[in-house]
Amino acid sequence: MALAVALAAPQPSARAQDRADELAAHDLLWMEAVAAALAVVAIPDVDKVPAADVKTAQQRLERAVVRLIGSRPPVSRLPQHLAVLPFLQEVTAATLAVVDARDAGDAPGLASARGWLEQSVRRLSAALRMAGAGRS
Amino acid sequence: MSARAPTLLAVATAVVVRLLAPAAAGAQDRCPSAEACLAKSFGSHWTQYQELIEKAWGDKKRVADLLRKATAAGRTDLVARLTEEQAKIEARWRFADGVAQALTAPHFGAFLERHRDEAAREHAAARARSQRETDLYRRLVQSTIGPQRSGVIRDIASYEREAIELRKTFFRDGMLASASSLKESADVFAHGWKELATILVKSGLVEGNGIAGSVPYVQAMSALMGSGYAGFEVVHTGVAVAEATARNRNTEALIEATRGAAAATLRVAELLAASPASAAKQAAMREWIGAAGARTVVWANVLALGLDTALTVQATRLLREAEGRQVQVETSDARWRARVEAAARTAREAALREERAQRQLDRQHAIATLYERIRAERGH
Repeated sequence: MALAVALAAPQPSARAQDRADELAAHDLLWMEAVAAALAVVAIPDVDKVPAADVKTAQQRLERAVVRLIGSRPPVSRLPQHLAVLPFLQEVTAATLAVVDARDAGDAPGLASARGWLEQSVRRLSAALRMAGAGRS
Repeated sequence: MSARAPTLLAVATAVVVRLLAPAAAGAQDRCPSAEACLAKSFGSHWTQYQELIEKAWGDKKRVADLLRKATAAGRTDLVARLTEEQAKIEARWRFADGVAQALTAPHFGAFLERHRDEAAREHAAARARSQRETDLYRRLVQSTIGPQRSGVIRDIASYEREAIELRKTFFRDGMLASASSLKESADVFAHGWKELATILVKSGLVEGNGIAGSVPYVQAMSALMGSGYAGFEVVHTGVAVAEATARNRNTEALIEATRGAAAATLRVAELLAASPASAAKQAAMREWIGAAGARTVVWANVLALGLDTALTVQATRLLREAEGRQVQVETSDARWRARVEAAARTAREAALREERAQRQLDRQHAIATLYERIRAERGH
């Protein structure tokens, strides 16, 4: 509420503008990770599409996650950031396991990794609902 | 401007890059697997969180104590310097306190417990399946005479039927869970999407913004909710998806609209993603944060909608595959060995994930204990 009032004021203070910029910058970082995660989830069959496509999507997600890990979230975003990021990391790791298994021609590993990826996406979805439930 | 607190995981970043991307690491740093990398990364994060909170609190107490002594001694020069130092530490403490509150929130702790319990169930199920596959394979190898072999084959066939039924139940339940959360997401997006569409047009970010792709989804959700989940109920009672969609136009419309919304959400996320960043995107994000974003966290809602719709589409596809699959009697020795290996591998890796989930919970409890002590010292 305080942020919206500050932004609506005719001449917002520099501090309020910094806070708005900080929030926008942090949300943009997350939006990149969201786009990368949804691109991974959109792959219909991770064990059948060209391996290079999965690898490209995984690397993009990994870069976005590493940027998030190295970021300093605004305090108001800490609950969502800290609750959801571990589960996004798990989706990243599970996708990497798929890539590694395909590179190695490891069929049992690929079967296990595919199951892990499906489970981790469900956990990420559940983590988002949990983080939303904690929102006032 | 308050002093900037250190980047939360600045020290760990370099370590995390190596741990999360073993291919890029030096030979001596290489993790044996993605799971091992993830476990190490989590361990590092929790350690950093704990150290951040302990140090900020320790510094806050130390400076407060020094300030009291300097004031009592009438050392105005020291008081001025310490007051300045205290302001900087106070900014660090506000951040560390925010981290502590987020990590020790009751709903987060409960979620980590549920996550641990689910990991334990997945491990138990994977172990049971591995034992069953191994046992069936052993009996197949041992049986050479007609009645024994046909007995094994009958058991394999019934096992396959059971697996297909279990899979159907799993995806039906998954679809119902998705439907519940879809309603919540759809309500948020019915408001947020309209505001976003206006802001994107104002910012000139119009080409292929995909907003229109979500409108049929919101309309189909409203129709489904109006009919009281009738579409999903028929799937839950075991009627095939093909038959359910033929019988109930709401179900068919929802599945089609869900597919469209999944694609549309991905397009919106791509449009709003940071790279490449542009002044127009920055302005659009700032304005949306002032509007819908002030009430909610923008990226979390986009991701939630995207995941829910994608999971529903996936569940529908997998359910159709399970229903259409013929029961195959597996007699090839090589394929059986592959099945046994895959099941054993899945069980081993599920065990590691259960251990990781338990360690996460233990570390969260440690921080909760620390924060409880700090709150007691603060007199809360």
